[in-house]
Amino acid sequence: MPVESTFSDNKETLTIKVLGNFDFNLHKEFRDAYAALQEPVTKCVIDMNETDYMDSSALGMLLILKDHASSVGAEVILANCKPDIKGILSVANFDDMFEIEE
Amino acid sequence: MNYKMHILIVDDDATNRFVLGTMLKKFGHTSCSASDGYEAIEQYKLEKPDIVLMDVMMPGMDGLEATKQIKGLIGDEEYVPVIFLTALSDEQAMAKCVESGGDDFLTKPYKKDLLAAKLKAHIRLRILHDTTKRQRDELRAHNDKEHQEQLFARNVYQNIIHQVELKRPNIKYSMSSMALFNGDVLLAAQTPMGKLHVMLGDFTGHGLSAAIGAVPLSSIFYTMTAKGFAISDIISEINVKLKNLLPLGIFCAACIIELDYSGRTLKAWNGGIPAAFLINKNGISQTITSNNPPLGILPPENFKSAEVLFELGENDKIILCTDGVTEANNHNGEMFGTERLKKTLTDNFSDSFDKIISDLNTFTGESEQTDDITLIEVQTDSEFEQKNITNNNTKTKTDIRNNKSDWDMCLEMDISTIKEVDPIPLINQFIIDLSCKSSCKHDIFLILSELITNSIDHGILQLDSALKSEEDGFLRYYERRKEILESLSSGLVKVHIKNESNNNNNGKLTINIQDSGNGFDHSGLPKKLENNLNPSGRGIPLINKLCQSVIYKGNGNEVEAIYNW
Repeated sequence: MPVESTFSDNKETLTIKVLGNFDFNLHKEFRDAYAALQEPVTKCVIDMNETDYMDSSALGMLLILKDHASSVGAEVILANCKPDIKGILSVANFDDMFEIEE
Repeated sequence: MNYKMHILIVDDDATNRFVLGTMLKKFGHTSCSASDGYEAIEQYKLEKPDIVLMDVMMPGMDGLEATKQIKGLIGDEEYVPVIFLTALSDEQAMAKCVESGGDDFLTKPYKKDLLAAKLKAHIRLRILHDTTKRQRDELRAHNDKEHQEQLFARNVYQNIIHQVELKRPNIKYSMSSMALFNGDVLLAAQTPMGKLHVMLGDFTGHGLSAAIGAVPLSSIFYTMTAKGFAISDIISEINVKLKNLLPLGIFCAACIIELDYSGRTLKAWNGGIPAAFLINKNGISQTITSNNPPLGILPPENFKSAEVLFELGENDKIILCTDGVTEANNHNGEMFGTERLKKTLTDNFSDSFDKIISDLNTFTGESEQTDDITLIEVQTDSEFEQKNITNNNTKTKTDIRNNKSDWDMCLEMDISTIKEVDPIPLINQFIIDLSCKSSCKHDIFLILSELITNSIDHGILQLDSALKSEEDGFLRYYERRKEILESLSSGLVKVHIKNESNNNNNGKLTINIQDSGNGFDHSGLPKKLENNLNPSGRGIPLINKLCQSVIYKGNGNEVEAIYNW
């Protein structure tokens, strides 16, 4: 599966890992993955350690996720981004809108 | 499955025909028959059976030839299986049956269950074939209709986007879209002051859904540019509009620039466009980096419309492109990338545009295009500035307003208004509605905007134009202007315009402007435009030239200009 989601033991952190190319083809899987983002989750980590590329529709999906997360009072963190991904996030100035973690 | 089929039995033996006919009747099918190949072809044409049972050896025309001809009549559009009835068992003979177009075999003597099973299988195939064909035809019709509608919509779309504005001697551009509609949008238009606005946008996705947002975007861009609004105002307006219109997750990466040919400055706002450069013969001189999120994401209260100001060198060129260029893939899945683009730009100044296109084509080779690709180059040389006001086709208005009219107009702006509102677009709106020739409108616009700018900049803000003569002067001038404007708590500009028309469709415009500043010594003003080679101070001599008279009053904080039109 190109999108894997796991919960922390205390069920408060949802980690969504995206593998390979993060683009429109993952739309459904990504949406299914964050559907699990409900109370008591307070933190949603998008792990991009194995994400090779992201396009503008992926940026769009992140915005939708953020909107959904804030509706349940959770924060979104983008983690382990490779340099290429960081470049795309910074051109779109998403680094101001999302917390980016090393 | 209980489909009733009409079946053609071909056999020279009457008993066989009777036996088969009886079996078929029991299964619930109807049949017709023929006793040789010739008759079989005639019957096929007449009865249009769903399935043919064909004997191989018959006098006259045998089953092989008849099958060939019948299959010829059926063509590819329909599936009518031909099942050979045969006592043959050697493989060579069977191969001949297949060659002639047969679909199956039934060996004599006939077994009821076997016949039933074979018919069932072929009926199933026939139904599948019919369904597929019907769906294919529906899909084809749907596609044709869709294509027609899209062509129509694209026609309308292109009229709205109005790309004829891009046909300027100093602009080279290339747009290559993946679908009939382009998710990239490229616009250019000239302001009433002769500055050039160019906007490059890249909507999320491709095709119609991506292109739809370009309609409000371009309409705002053209309307506001024609009225003389600054790019920061235009970009804010577009952002609000897109934020309200587009669904969450869809947005528009954009770069908008304002090129001031004679002032040799460039103002730019970049939100999400990866590659925007100023280049000269030494390579890339400056990069217009993206320091904002794309349009349509932030609510107006968080949106930052502040533009970045660049000083232009003599022959600088501006290069903008969408990520379709930098992210174009070659057959190894490698991307063209910013570094390759920069290298191409550094190595080729005079033919940079063509070189990027050819380098990109060489790089991608036969690889499939995966995004809309847009590239634009703008030459900034001052000789390209077009002096006349564009699109001022106000003939109908003129006809209505031909009658003699005298009027007075007064505009007062206090400091809070000056901080928030750019008065120039307001003035321009008023001039557009005047009934004089467009060349006069240009003059009036110039006079008003120069005088008002002088009152604000030099009267109220007390800025010194000499700043502009220094290196990076324009940049420092604008920064200083911003600082002072923000710190001021009082100030007033009064604009009074009076028009007196005469009977010959001409008139006299008296413009009086007062400011609350300390005034200036107007005795030593330069009188002749021709002698002035400084980057600043052209304003007053220019107005002197256009007006019948320009008189400074009091301590220099009041000016009265008379213009005959």
